[in-house]
Amino acid sequence: MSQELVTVTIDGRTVQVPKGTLLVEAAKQVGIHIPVFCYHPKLDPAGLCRMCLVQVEKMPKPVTACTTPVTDGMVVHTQTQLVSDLRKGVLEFLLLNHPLDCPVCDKGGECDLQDLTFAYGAGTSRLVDPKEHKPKAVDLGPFIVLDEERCILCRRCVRYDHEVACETQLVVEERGHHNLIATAKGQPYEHHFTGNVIDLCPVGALTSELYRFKARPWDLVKVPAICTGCSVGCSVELHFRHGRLLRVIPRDNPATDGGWLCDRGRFQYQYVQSEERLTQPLVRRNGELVPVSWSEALDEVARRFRAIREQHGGEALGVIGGGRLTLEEAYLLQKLARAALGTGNVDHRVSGQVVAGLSQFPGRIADLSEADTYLLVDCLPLETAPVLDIRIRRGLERRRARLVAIGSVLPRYRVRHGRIGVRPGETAAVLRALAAALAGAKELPALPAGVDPETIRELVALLDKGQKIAVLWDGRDPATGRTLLEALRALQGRPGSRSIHLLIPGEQPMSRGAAYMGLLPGYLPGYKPVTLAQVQETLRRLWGLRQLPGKGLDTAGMLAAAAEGRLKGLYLVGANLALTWPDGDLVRKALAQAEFVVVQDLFLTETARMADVVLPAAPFTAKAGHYANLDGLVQAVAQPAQSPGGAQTDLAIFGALARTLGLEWKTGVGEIAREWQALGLKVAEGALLPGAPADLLGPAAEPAAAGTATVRAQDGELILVPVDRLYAGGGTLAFDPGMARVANRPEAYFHPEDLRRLGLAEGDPVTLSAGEAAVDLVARAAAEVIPGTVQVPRGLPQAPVNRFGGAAAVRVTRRVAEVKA
Amino acid sequence: MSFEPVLTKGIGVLDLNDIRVYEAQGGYQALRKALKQMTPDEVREEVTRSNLRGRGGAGFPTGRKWSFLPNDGRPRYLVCNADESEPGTCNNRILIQWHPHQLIEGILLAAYAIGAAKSFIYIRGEFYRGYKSLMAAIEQARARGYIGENILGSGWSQEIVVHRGAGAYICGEESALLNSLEGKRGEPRLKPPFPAVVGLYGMPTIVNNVETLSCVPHIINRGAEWFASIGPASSPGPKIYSVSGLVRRPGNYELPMGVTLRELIFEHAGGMLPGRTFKAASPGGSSTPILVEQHLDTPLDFDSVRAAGSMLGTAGVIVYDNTVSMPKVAEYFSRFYAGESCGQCTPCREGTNWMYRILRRMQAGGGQPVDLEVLRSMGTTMSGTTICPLADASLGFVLSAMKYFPEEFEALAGAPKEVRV
Repeated sequence: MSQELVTVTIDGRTVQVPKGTLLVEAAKQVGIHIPVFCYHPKLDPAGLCRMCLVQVEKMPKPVTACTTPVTDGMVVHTQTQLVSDLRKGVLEFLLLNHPLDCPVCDKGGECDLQDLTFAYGAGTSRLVDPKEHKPKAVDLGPFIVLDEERCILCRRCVRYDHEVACETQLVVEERGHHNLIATAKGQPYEHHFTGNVIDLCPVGALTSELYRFKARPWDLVKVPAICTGCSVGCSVELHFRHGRLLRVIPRDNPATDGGWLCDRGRFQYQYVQSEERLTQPLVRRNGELVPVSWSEALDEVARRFRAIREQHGGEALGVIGGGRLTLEEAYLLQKLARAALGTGNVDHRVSGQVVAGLSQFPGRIADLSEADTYLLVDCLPLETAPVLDIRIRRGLERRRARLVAIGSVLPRYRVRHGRIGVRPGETAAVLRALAAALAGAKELPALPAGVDPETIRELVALLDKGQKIAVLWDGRDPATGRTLLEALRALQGRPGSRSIHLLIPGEQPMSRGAAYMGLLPGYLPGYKPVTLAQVQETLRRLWGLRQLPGKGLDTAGMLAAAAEGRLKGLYLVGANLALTWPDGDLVRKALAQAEFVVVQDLFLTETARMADVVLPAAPFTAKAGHYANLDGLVQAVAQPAQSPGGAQTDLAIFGALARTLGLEWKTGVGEIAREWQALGLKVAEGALLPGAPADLLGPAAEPAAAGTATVRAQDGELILVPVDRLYAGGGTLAFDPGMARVANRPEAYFHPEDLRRLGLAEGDPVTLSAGEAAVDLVARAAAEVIPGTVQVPRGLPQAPVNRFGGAAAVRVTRRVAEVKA
Repeated sequence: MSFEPVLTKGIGVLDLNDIRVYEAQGGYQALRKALKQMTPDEVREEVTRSNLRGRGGAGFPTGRKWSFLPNDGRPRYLVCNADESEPGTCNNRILIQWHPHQLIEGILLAAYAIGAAKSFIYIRGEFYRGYKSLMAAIEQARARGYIGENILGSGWSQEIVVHRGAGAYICGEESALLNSLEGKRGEPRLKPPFPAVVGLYGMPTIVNNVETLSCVPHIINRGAEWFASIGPASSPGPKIYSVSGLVRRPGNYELPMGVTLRELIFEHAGGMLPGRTFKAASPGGSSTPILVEQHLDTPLDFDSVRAAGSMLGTAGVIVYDNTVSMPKVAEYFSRFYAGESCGQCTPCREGTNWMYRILRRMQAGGGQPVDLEVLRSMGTTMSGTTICPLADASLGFVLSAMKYFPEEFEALAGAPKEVRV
C-alpha cells in the first residue's frame, strides 16, 4: 500500500486514507459499519456474499465495499434505500434454506448471520416452499464438524486453506445452490492448522468436535493467556464454564501468532481437567508411591536434600527442568538450587538442545513474514513451532521467497526449494564449506558424500540475492551452531547489504526464558558467568549468602554423575527425561542409582514413576507471571484463570520448599520483580530478552572432528534419525483425551527407495534394533526422508526412540504377525 | 437489397473442412496478405476501422479491445470463446463445425495483430463434432505451414491449443472460461482487473467470440470500408441470426446486421406456424428480455435492440406464438439458470433457485400472491448485484414476460378475486 493519501467521502464524512485502502476499511475509520460475511482482513478480497454492496457516485451499479479500493474524490453512500434493500435481499437469500437452529447452535450469540440479520434484515421470511436440505454433522477432519445447511458459502474456510495455510484440501463442490464445502477427494481435513476455519466461519457451519454443544458463548468466562504448547508463545483466550476449560481461541498478536493457532495449541486443553492429573503429593513407602499431605511431602524433600547436602555437599544435588515454567518460576528454581540447595548443578535442557536463542543475528518471528530468503538447518518448523511455518509457506507462495533446507531432516514444501540432505552429524561439514565459499575460498573443505560442491556455489549465489534472510536452526548440534555462525558472518561480510535473522525454536516453550533466568550451569540470571566477581557479590548480598556455588554440571553431566553414584539427589521439574532425553538408558540408570529423586509434574509420567517423591504441579491455567518465547519476547499473564486445586503452582511449591528448608524467602511475583531490578534485568511485557552467548556452543573443535557423520551404517543398516512431530510426546499430550485422535502412531518413516530395497511395504510392522535396544514400529514411506536413514518421532511413549541413545545404526526387520492360538 | 452471405458462404454446398476447398475459395489469403504486407498494428487498425463489434453478446468494439493490452513485456494470449451455450443460439456451432478454417485464419490474424504468444480455443464440451472438425483443420493447416514455426516464411510463429469444456454454461463468461482453462473451478473473476490486463495465467489476454474472429479474414481481404458498409454504421457487418421457436423455418440466417425482427421472422424464417400469431420473441437468447408485437420493426443491431429495452446478445432469436404460456417458459428458463449458477454470489446462487421453485410451484397450481412480489423484488436484489451477469440473465425473460403479460402470471399466483357480498 502506498503512502499517498486519497480523500473519500462516506455518508458525508470525509476521511484521508492511504491509496489502495479498501472501501470497507476506509468506512471503519469514520465509524461507519459496512456489514460483511465473506470479507476478512486477513484473506484476499473475494466479493462473494454481496452483503457489502454500497452506492458510489458516478458508478452505474452498486459496488462491493470489500473489493473496491477507494480513489481520490470518491463519494460513497451506505444509507440509501437501495443499499438497505440489497442488504435485506442478501440476508433473505442467506436465510432461505438456513435451518435457523440457533437455539442449539454453538455459534448462537457470536454469529455474524444472527447479528447482521438483527441489524439489517427483514422481520419476516417470504419463503413459501419448504427449506432445502443438505448434509449435517459432516466429519470434515479430526477436529472439525461441518453443517452444510448452516453454511452461507462465504468460502472464508476454503480461501484460508489456500491462501494462508497454503494447503489445497478444502474445496467447493457442486454448482449453484447445490454448492458444498468439502475436502478434495473426500479425504479427512487434516493438517496442523485446520482449527482456524472455526474462527473464520461467520456462522455455525464449522464447529469444533471438542467444543460442540458444550456451552453458550455468553456463559463463558474468558481469560487472556499465552499458549505454552511450544516456543512461539501465541496469544490465546481461554474460555471456561463452571471452571472447566472448554475452548481456546487466538488473540491476534502480530508479533507471534498473526491471528492463527496450530491445532495442538487450539485443541490440546482437556489435559488441564484430566482425571489423571496429580492432585496429591506422592511419597514412596515400601516401594510404592502413596498419597500424602503437602507438608509431609515437603518435609520429606527438605529432610532428604538437607541430609545429602550435609553428607556429600551441595554438588551431590542436581536440578533439571524449568523450560516449561514462567520467568518468575524459572528464576526462583535456580535461586532454590544455588541458594537453598547450594548446588551449581542446574540445567533446564531436557532433550539435547544446546541453545534456544543466540545473541548473534537476532531474529524476530515477524521477520519470517518479510524475508525473501529462508535457510533452514536441521529444522522442521512445522513440527517444532508450527505457527512459524504459516509465515514461511506464505513467504514461499505469495512473496516467492527462496528457501534452502540443509540437514539430516528436511521439511516439505509444495513450492520449489533447495535441499541438501545429509547423515546426522554431517550438517556442520556442509556449513563449513558454505562458510568457506561465502568467504571467497577457491578450494572448498571436504563435503559429505553425495553433496556436490556446485550445490554449495549455487547456494552462495542464492544467498547473495537475499536482502532479508531468515535462518532457522534446531539448536541441537554445537558444531553445526558454530559453523552456522561462521557461515552467517561470512555472508554478512560479502559486498552488498542484507539483514540476517536467526531463530531457534526452543525444545520447550520457555527454553529461552529459562536460560536467561540462569537455569544453565555456569550462568547466573542475565547470562552472567558464574565466575564474574561483581555479580557474585550482588547475588550474595541479595540472597544473603556467604558463598555462591560455582559452575556445576549440565543435564548430561548430572545424569552421568548420578548413574555413577556421585550425584545423590535429583530434583526434576516438568522434565520427563525418561522420554525426552536422547539417551534413555542413561536416564533410567541415573534415576535408579540416585538416592533420592523428586519429580514435580502434572501427571505421573514415565519419569515420575521412578521418583521417590512426586509433587503435583498446576498447569499454566493456574498461573500468572511472565513468559519469554523463542525470539525473547516477554509476555505477561496478568491473572490466573483457575485455582490450582489440589496441586500447587510451581512458584508456590518452590516457595514452600524454601520455607520448609528454613529460609525466610518472600517469593511473590512482586518480590521477584524487585530482585530482577536489583540485578539489572529488564523483564516486562513487550521487553526483548537477549539471546545466549555463543560460548554455550563450546570451544571450536578440530575441523576434522566436527562435521563427520556421528555413526556409520554397516550393510543392511539404516541410520536412525529422531525427528520432532507435533502430536508425539508423552507429557500433556498423552494425557489429553482430545488428542488421542491425532496422536502420532508408533511409525518409522523410510525413503520409498529404502523401503523397496528392504522388501517392505507401507504399513508393514517392523522392528528397529541396535545391540540390546529394539523398538517396534510400523513402516511408512516419506519422500523427504534422506536415503539411508530412517526417521522415528521423538517422545512416543509406546516406542521411545531414546532407547538407541541418539543417532544410531539400526537393523530393520519385518515383524511376523503373532499367530493367535 | 440483395445480400450475399459472407461467413456462411459455401456451407452446405462445399466441403469447407477440406483445406484445399477453403484455399480455392480464397482461404488463407488474408493471413498471407497480413504476414507479407501488414504490420500487426496495421491489422489491428484495419479491424478498428471496420467497427467490428464483438458478437459474443456485449457488442464491444473488437479493435478497441485489442488496443487495451498493456505493453509491459509479459506474454499475451488470445483465447477464442467457442463455449456457445446460450439457449436458442447455434450460430457459432456451424462456423466451428462447417467452416473451421475461416475461424483458424481469424484466430491467426488476431494473434498476429495483438502479438499473442499462443492461442487457445475453449470449445463447449458437447460440440464433439465441432471439436473433431477443428482438430482435423488444425492438422491440415499445420501441414500447409499456416500453424507452427515460421508461418509462411514470415518468421512469425503461432500455436493453437484446443481445450474442451466440461459442460458449464458459466464457462462462456470470459473470466470463468479463463479459470476453467487454467484447470480451476469455472467461476467468473472479480473485475477489474480485466483479462486484457490480468487474464490467462495472469497474463494479458484477449477473449474473442467465434463469429467475431471469423469476420476478421474478410475484413483483411476486403477492407474495413467494405465491412463498415454492411448494415448500420454503429454496428456493421454480417450477422448470423439463430431463429428458433414456433416459426415455419427455424435455422441460422446470415443477414446484414440490423435486419428487422419482422423481416427475420416473416421473410426469412417463413413466418408463424399455420393459424398461429406472433406473441413475443427473445432477441438474443434466453437471457434477454422479450420483445413483443410493438417491437417487430426494431432493427436487430446492438443499439436498436437496447433502445427497445432488450439486448441483441447472441442473436439467438426465440419466437413464441399465441399458444405459448409465458409462465411455463419462465419456469423452463429459470430451471436452466438455477442449474447453471456457479454459486459464488449469494443473490444468484439462492435467487435463481428460489425463482425456479416459485415458478414451478405456480405451474403446479400452488401459486400465492406473495410470489409475484418476490419475483418483482428480485429485479432489485439480483440485478447488477453480482460478479457476472448470470443473475441478470436469469431475470431477463421472467421480468419482461411479467411486464408484458402480467395476467398470465397473476392467474397462476392465486391473486385474490374481487369478492362481492
